[in-house]
Amino acid sequence: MSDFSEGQIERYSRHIILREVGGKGQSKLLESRVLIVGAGGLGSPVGLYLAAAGVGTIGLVDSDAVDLSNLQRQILHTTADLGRPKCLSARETMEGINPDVCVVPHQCRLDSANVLNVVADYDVVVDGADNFPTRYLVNDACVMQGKPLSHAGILRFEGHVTTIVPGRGPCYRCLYPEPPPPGLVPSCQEAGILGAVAGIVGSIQAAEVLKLILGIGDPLIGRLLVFDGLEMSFRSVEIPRDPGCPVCGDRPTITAPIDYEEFCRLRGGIESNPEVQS
Amino acid sequence: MSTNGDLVELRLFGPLREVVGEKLVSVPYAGLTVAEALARFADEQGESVRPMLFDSRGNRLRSLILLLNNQTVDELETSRLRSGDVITVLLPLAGG
Ligand SMILES: [Zn+2]
Repeated sequence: MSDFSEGQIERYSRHIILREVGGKGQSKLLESRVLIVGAGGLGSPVGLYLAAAGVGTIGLVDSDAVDLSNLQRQILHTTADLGRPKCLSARETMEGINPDVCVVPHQCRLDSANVLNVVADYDVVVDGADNFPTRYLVNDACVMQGKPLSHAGILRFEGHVTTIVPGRGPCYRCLYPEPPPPGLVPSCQEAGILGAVAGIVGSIQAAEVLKLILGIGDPLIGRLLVFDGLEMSFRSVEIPRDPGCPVCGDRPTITAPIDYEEFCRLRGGIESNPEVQS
Repeated sequence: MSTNGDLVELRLFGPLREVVGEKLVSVPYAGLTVAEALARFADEQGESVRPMLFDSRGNRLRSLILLLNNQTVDELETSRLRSGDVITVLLPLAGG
C-alpha cells in the first residue's frame, strides 16, 4: 500500500474507501494474475472490469480475429479492429483503460497439450469460452492445479454462472459429468445471444473474480446462478460436489487433460465452431 | 382426464425451452417418479425433445441437471412426485 502513486490513489479511490477493499485489497488486485479464456461476449465485460479494477496481470486466450458479427456484444473490440487478432485488440482496449495493467496475449487454442502450462501462471481463471471442449478442458486443468475458476455460459436470453474452487465445492463436471452430444446445445452463432445478456453475466464473473482475489463475501461456490433475461429473474440452485466426480471426486479417473475431438467434426453440413470466440 | 390434483410443472431452460416452446409446462404426472416423468415427457413430446433428455440407447443424458422444487434429486428413481411439484431441467450452455 505504501508505494501507491498519487494517480493510483485517485484512480482506485472508490475501491480504497470500501472497507472490504482498502489499500491492502487494492494492492492484492495489482499483484494478482487472472487468465480469461475467450475474449468474446463474456470475456469482454470481464476484461474491461478487471482492467479498470487494476488486476495487475491479465492473460487472454483467444485465437480468433475480430469479426463484424462480434461487435454487437464483444465490447472489448471496435469497428476499427475488424480483422485484427482479438487478443491484441483486447490488450489495446484494456491497457488503454488502465496503464497499471499488463495484458498477456495467448493467441492460441487451448488443448490437452498446452492447457496446464497456460493455467499454471495465473491465480484465478475465467471461463468465457464458446464451446464445450474448451470448458471441460479448462475445468479439468483448474481442478488438477487447484485454481479457482469462474464459469459462465450464455445463450439467447439466458445465462449460467458459478464459481469453482477446487476442494471447496463442486466443479463443472459435478454439475454436468459429460458434455452433451455434439449438436444438441447450439452456439450463440447458431441460436443468437442478446448482447446485454453477455454483459450482465460477464459482469457477475468479474465481480466473483474480484471477490476471490480480495477474499471477501460469499462466492458462488456450490451454487449455480441461472439468469433468465426475458423474465429478468435469477434463480440460485445449490449443487453439491459429487464424490464420484471423475475429476474432483474421491477417486478421480481423469488425471490428465483430455480433448473432445468429436466436437471438432463437421456436423449437419455446417462446421461447428470450435474456436474460443463468441 | 387429468385433474388439478395430478399436475406437476416442468420448468424448462435453454434449448429445451426453445424446442418445446414453453418455459413452464403443466403435466399430469403426480405419482410418477422423476425418472418416469422424464420418460413420459419425452414420449409425449416426441423426437425433437427426446435427444435432449435421453441418448440413443435410452439412458438419461449425463449432461442434465434435474431439480425437484429447486433441489438436486438423489432419488430420481424412487421419490414420487406430488401435486404442485416443480421439476427443473437444465442443460449446460456453450456460448460465451
Ligand atoms: Zn467435480
